[in-house]
Amino acid sequence: MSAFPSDYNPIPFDHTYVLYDPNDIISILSVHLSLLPIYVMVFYTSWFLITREIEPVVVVGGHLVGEVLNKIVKRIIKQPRPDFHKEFGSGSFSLGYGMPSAHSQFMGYFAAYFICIVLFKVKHLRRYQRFLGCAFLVVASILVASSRVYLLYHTVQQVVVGVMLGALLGLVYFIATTFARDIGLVDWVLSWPIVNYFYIKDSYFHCYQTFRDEYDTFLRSKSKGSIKKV
Amino acid sequence: MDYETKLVFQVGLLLLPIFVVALRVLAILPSVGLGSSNKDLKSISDITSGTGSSIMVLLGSGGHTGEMMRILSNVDLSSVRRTWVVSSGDSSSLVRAKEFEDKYQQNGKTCKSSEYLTLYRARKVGESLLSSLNSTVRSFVDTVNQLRKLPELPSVLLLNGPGTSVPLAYILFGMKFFGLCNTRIIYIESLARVNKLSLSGLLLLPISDRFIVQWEQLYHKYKRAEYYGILI
Repeated sequence: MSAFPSDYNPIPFDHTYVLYDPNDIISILSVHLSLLPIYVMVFYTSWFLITREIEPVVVVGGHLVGEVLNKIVKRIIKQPRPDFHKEFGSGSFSLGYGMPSAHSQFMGYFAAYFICIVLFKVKHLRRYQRFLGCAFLVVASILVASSRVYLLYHTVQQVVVGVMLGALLGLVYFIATTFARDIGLVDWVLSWPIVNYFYIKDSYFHCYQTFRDEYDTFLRSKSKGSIKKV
Repeated sequence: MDYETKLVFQVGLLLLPIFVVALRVLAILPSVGLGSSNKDLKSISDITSGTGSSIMVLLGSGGHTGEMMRILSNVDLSSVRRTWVVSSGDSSSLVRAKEFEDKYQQNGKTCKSSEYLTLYRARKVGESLLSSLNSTVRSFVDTVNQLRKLPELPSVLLLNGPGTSVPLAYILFGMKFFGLCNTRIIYIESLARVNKLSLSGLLLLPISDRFIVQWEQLYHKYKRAEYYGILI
């Protein structure tokens, strides 16, 4: 029966492999929080495919840098996961190590980058709207980080280091992309024939439109269409 | 405290300085838009408005100096302290600056004092990469020393693109980082640049509070560039 070669040694895919207790409501919630980074990645993809904005690509670039950084730091610190998941992904490059938590780092980056966006890029928001946006991002990160601890994949310390590292990366990446846009690096990428072919644009930088602007444009074009000359 | 908790504090202490530096850069970076807001200034002559201010003008070499003097010939700088910065060995720029000052003296108007700084040159035209690296470092050290001798750091730094402007601007940006000055950096790209920014321009764009180009093509290409027609 055993058709597998003896050296076949599968490991769980980091962000998706989640063991939980189906009879515990908090455990079920934690599963979805643990999968939130995956949902967010799906969101980026849709965002890019539908709007053809370069912004999601820029953000995902930062996430990829974060993932590589996470694997390297895990290798350096070599801190084991909590006892229950000690064998999680053992034999892989770095899954066996638990510090810093990749999920927490993902969310730390996510929160830091988008807090910068909410504070510096989206100019029309009112004070309370900015506050709510930032609060939502912070709470989301804390919840995801807690889910990792609750499901026994990480210790509190590993999660804290993950969030710190991610938040720093988000901040630095925001500054780096601001520079890149300023000196026209992003515009240069947009001028590539292959990028051009898919009509990819950067209206987040050049001509940011609020939902209200878009709605007004809609109203205007709608009313134009309804007037019929006899 | 167990080993892992200690690790948290160690990583935290390691990351904290980088975090603080990043936050400070974010706060003073003009391209982020939190830096000094001065969109209300509309013409070049407005840069000198406000009493008690001082302006530092960099005179690069030949063409750059000529352009700068022609831009300044339309501006009354008598109400601000002026600091002229020239590169070492560039006596003609020094002469141009002194001529400019003499005009103020002849008019007999009450005018603020002026000063001259001579900086070690960053990169000679056509110099090889390695030796230009060496001279850039020397120019950095020299510039810091010269700036420390000034009675006060300028409130406006006016540049138009010679190689010396990069170290000078970044040093003043560094001083702004530490809260030592609040210099607004105004960069005017040379008239010779029509479709592409110069290397100095590209390097200084992110830290310039105002970035003025003299051709419409450049204005459309770079979002933060401002265009008021040809200035000279």
